Amino acid sequence: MSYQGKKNIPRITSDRLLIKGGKIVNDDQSFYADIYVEDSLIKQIGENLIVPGGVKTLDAYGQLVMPGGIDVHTRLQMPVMGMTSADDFYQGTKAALAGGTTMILDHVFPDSGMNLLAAYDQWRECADNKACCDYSLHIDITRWHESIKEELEALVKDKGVNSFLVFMAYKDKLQCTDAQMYEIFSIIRDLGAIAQVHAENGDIIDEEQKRLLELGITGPEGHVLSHPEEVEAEAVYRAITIAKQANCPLYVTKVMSKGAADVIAQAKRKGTVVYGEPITASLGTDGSHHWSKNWAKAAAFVTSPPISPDPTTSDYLTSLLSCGDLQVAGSAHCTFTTAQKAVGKDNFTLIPEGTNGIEERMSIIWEKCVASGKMDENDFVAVTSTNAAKIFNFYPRKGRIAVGSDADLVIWNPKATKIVSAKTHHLNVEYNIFEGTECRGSPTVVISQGKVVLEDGNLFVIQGSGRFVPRKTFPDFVYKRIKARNRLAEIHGVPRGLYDGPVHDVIVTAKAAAPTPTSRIAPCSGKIPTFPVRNLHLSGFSLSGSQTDDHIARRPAQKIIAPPGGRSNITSLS
Amino acid sequence: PAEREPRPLPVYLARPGTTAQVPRQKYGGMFCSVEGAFESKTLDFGALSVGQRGARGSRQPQPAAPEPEPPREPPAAAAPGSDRLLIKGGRIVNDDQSFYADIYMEDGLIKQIGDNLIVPGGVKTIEANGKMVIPGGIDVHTHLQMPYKGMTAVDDFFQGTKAALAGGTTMIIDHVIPEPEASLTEAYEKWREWADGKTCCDYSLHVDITHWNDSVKQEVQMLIKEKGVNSFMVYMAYKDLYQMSNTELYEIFSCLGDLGAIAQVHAENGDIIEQEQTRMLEMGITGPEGHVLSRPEELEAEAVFRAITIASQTNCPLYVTKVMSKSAADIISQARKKGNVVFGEPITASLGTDGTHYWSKNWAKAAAFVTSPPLSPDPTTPDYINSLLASGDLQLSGSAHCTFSTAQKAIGKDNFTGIPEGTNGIEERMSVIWDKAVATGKMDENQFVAVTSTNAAKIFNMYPRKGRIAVGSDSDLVIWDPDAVKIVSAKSHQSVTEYNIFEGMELRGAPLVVICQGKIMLEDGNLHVTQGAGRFIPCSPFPDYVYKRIKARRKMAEMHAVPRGMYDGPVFDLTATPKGGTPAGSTRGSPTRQTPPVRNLHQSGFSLSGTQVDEGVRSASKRIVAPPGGRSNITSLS
Repeated sequence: MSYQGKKNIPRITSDRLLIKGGKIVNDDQSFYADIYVEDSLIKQIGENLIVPGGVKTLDAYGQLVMPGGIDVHTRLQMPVMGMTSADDFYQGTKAALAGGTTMILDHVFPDSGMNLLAAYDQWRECADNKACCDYSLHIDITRWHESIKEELEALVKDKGVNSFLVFMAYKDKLQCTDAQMYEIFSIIRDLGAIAQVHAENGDIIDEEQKRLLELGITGPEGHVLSHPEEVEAEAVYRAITIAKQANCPLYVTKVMSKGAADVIAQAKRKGTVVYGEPITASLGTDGSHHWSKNWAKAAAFVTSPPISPDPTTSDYLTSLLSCGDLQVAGSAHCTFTTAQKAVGKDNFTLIPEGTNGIEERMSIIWEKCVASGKMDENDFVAVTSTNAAKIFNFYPRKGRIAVGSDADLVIWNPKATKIVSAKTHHLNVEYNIFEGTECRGSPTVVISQGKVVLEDGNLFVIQGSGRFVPRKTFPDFVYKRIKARNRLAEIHGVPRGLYDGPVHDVIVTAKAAAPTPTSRIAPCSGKIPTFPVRNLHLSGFSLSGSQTDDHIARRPAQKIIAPPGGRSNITSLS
Repeated sequence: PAEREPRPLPVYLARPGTTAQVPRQKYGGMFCSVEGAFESKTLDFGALSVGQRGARGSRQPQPAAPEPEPPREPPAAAAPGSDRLLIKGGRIVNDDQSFYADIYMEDGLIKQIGDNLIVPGGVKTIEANGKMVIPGGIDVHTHLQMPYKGMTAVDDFFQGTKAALAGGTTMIIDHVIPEPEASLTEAYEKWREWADGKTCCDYSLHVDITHWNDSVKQEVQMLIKEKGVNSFMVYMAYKDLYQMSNTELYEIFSCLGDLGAIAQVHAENGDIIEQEQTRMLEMGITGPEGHVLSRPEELEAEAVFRAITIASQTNCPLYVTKVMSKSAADIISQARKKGNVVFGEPITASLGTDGTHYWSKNWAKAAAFVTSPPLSPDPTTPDYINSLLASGDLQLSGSAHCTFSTAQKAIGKDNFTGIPEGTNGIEERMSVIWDKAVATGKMDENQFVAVTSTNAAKIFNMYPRKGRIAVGSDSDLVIWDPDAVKIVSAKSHQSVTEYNIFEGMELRGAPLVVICQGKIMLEDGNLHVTQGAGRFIPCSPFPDYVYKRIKARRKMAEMHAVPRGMYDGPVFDLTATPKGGTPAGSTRGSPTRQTPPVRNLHQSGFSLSGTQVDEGVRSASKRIVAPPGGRSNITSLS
């Protein structure tokens, strides 16, 4: 109970904590119990726990004790155009902890041409030195090349990464073609990882950007006008189609519009394994601010896909998040100062993209979903923490309050009210896109790795204390269905007799320009080993008198002019 | 005459249990007219009706009053064998209404419609006996005589149009497919030459865009302005052959939208199909079932969705050819509900049969069904697509008639990707729709006329010359017998192929008499066609039916920039910190063409506030460390 003083906190708390009287909220149920934490793990849950003397006790009467939030999408310290986003791993994770988030999943964004492993190492180094909370990494595939499979395999097997993002936008830079996506998705499925996708049709955006600049629209409103909602929905639809074809689980990052969310919801109804991630910005605000007369404010909202100008979007997305059509919430936190954003002051395509949200995420969702009655506290835990842990395969280590789990906890006061403002936030930027939003519900105490990092409004964070959380492949939550389908989806040819009718003579009449039949299948790169399936069918037919290898010599040579039952006009007109 | 007796209404138009029409409730109903709204007003219903004279009846059969014909001297001494025809006692069915009247035709045009017509003596008279007289069918999608890998589709323009006429179709619109890199105009001229020498009925042409560059753009312009082509098709499939990228689609659609043409699209995701084909072949699946397995329904739906998105972005009307699956049809109907200008064309094959035959043990039969997008293996698909056609979510029907003999199909006997694609359907189209949609009560006879003829004429801007029975229209007519039953068979069909994909299907509804260009082409089961009699029908751009909405939207869709003050805060210094390998800032903006002079508009508006327009140069060079109201950490981390 005793307040130990800011400087001494790390030493004196000695990793032992008792949380008394709180209501423990997991994604499935809530119950009243005390929690005893030691060595950054939860050791006991129950009433009248027997604990060592002198342990620090936190009083949680009348409040909720929840698993710490997991922010599935951040871009801290991201390099763009020679700049680095304003919030680095220290500042960003500090803000995360202040908002009740105790783990982040950051995106590794390799420069084009950079080896994915090298980029991973670079990110690990930055984060290990600076992060104040546990973290894990997604890898962005910014460029397709032949040896991508080996790199992905190494990352999955040795580096604890199980999710990769591909871009459908940013033409001529990051964009993947459909065929590349199919190949990447197939690799990802074989490795048991999760395919993430930045879903926007980059070709159309590129055309629209040119058009708008020609029209003289150079301000941030051009950003949202050149990224219309349909373009996002289209790309989501395409990504789902390709993922379904490749039988790969799909995770759509940054669901920003109703159209995209609808497409995901429909696909789920049809049984596709797809997850949608709305972000703080799409849940908490709308894109009408792009038309603000204040350039700096308008520019602060620029992100891709853009925040929809339709003011009913956030309400719609929170509803889908509540009913389970969307599963997890991220922040896509990637902030730039106004001076950095001003690189694009005369051309909206140059404005670095990204909004804040790492700190506000939990409170915004509580305010929009729980306080408004759309979801209950258990659903809240599911979308802010548990589902993320399940999808990315670190459940129940994270995302649940259970004996043996990591002691990442939040004591949540549903009655507290806070007004979001750039004056009080823990970020390095001048604008907060949620400026003035009043949120009910905020964390009173945050415990990360068994240590109190937020208490009485004071943050006690230690730079570099965050650990990398490696993730295993084939998360059950995602892959159980995929595996079953892989077994079911075997395709069989029809065992037919040999076609012994007349064959039109192509060689004689073939024109120079006409593509030969083989050219159509030429680019098969032998990515999937040939199965011995063919023998199954053919061998089944050797019983009928002809031998399996009969056909090889005979067919092209002999031409049977009058097949049994054929009509006389077969050749008369050809 | 006896045939003039009012026929009872078809059951589907009447209230269940009675044959009388439901009397309209006078007061109180939700859809009732306002009480007294018509008092002391004279409404001339005749003037309101869309049709010509004699069109003033409702669907209720009523002997129309004798037409007060304008004084017209009956031409004396009608030459025997002239193209004068009188159809007596028919029930004229247009897309909006049906009524009883006689039709008099001369010189290939409909001259009079009404009762007790004054016609020259000795004119040939056809007794319709109360049967329906409908505008001749228009088949919007054929590939007659199509060259493919050095072969030619077996049904040429003569054989194909003959089959069309036998089935009640009096006009076709064929697709010109230029070889990639070949000139569109040359291909167009080649097709014209083939068709003019052979067709037996009127025809028009779509031109397929198989590659895209500036010269193609000029050719498109020329074809629209001078050659009477107003529809162009692009392919989203056939990778490395015809396939267009999204960027090309965007440019083509913008171009077509500006020129007032209709963008048609073959919607399938070619990239994924190629991958799937490779996979199938690697698994040892080489038969026709591989065709359908490598082109799953979702790929069609995905491409339709993408095409609609791009068309909506460019404000161009879109026409999806060959709607073959439920999900593609659903996407179109959803898009229409959102207000997109999009039309969907199911074909005879997707309306009449399904793709289970791909698994037939008979290779030749399975191969006969190969077309792209493939027939859906889901057997409920035809029923579903017929329902959407009846409800208006899909608007018109084609046949995609493109037939190859079994020997030609057999070049793909060891590899399904080599099988030439295409099915028959030009002859069966009208009967299949009647049987599946009208006879089952899904649509009425007027909607039947709309989907087989009128909508096509409206979309491709040939209305009311084609697609309507009205004075002045071409006399392309069909006397339709709804009760006739015919069994489709390769033995009796007009096409040259050995397989008919509708083999054995019993179809209710068949043409009794077919009149094309005022001449009887089919009577008593005998065809009297003349090779080369067909004319090319030019189609002008900006069809009202399609472009009215597009034009209105264009006016609405102007975008405006926000007039802002100039940003005069600090700007991050990009030149100081470029790291090796990161894309330079300018690369993102470089694809923009030269900046238009519009920029001055905004900037000049601000010179009033004290700063000068050209003072903006300042922000690039000088760096303001403490901006007004800025926080101190602006620069601390940069």
